[in-house]
Amino acid sequence: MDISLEHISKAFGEQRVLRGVNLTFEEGRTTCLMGPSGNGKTTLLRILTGLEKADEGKVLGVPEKIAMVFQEDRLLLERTALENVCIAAGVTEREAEEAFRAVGLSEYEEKPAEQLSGGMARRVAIVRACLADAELIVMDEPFKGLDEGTLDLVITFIKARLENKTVIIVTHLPEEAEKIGGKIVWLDQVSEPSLP
Amino acid sequence: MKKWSKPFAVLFWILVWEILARIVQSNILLASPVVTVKALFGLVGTKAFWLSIASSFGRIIGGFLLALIAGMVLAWTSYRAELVRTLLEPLIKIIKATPVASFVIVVLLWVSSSKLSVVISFLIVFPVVYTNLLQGLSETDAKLLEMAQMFRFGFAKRLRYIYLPAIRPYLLSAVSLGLGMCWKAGVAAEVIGLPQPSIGRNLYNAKLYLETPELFAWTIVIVVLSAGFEKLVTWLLKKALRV
Repeated sequence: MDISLEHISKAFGEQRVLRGVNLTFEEGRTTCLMGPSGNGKTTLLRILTGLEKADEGKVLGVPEKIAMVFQEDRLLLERTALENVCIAAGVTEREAEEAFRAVGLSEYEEKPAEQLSGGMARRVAIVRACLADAELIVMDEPFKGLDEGTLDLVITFIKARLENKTVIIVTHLPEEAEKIGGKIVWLDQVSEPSLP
Repeated sequence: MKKWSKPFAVLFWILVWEILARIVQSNILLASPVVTVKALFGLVGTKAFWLSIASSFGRIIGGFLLALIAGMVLAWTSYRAELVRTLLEPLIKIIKATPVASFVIVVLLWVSSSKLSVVISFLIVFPVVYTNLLQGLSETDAKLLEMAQMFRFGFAKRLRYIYLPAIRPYLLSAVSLGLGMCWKAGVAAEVIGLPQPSIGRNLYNAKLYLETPELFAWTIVIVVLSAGFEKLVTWLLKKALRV
């Protein structure tokens, strides 16, 4: 079932973030949600995943099992990289190790998350979401802080791992969207004009 | 120098104590360290000494444990339910502000003197545990909780991986503070309630018969029990919370 957002509006106090947004995300496809910084992409994802409530509008077709890469890594800092994946995604160490190999993290599996560099922590967060038993995977600027070589590794991993799953990736870089190769949706194109 | 600084400080104060005792030259006003240690050895050999310790220990630590459990349960309930937090707030403030002596007198009207130190120990420790844990819970990383929600962590997983690391410093501080306070207040309650056998009753008798060396010896016993038990419990907790 496709995921539909119908007339979604959201304000934080005086600040209107979303105005009557209508969007559809196709089931089993990867969609890149694009748009300039600060135009409500993160808020839209939070509404879609149920972390935030919309002031107006409806969200339809969202499956129960969702995995997410947040804008921040949100790792369990006292746990190792491997534990972070196994605990949250509920997979075996072997599965996590394979995924770590694919994204170039093999050497850092046993490192506590608090000692990982920004790029490493980001990859752990991506692996965690990709291995989780989920029908919808949502990623909010997942490639922030990754260098060119690592980015290619990670995108190859995501494509292979999440083939035929519903994936929504927020990015504001066209080159990233191009590499991912999914459907591209511009948030500012689907927003309705400002309400009075 | 650092390795020896603690024993050096202790020795320094024992020396000051000895000098003061020599100046005062009265074991009734100020028993010297040597006389106190002699009195302590005299006590250690008696059955009544161990019975008093066991009895006071059971009552005071019993009250401490009850307060720990109640503090944990109510801190969690308050964290989850704003109404409970609001209702408990004035009660906690009153318990914190009320002098121990007032509690002792009121509680003596309600319970027998043998249970007094349990109740007093509870009343002193409970607000410390409750306040500390509630603060720890309130400061739990909301972003991690969202992550847990997204990845469908059950209660046990949330508790182990998110709440426990968040409340650990608060729990350790509450236990350490509470253990020190419960001994002070518990023994003070025993001095007033005079349960038999108890450390408090022995303190009272030492004061009554002007047996200052025994008074000092019992005080050393309380300090050693309090500090030793605090070290043991915090060590065990640190081990247990390294989940």
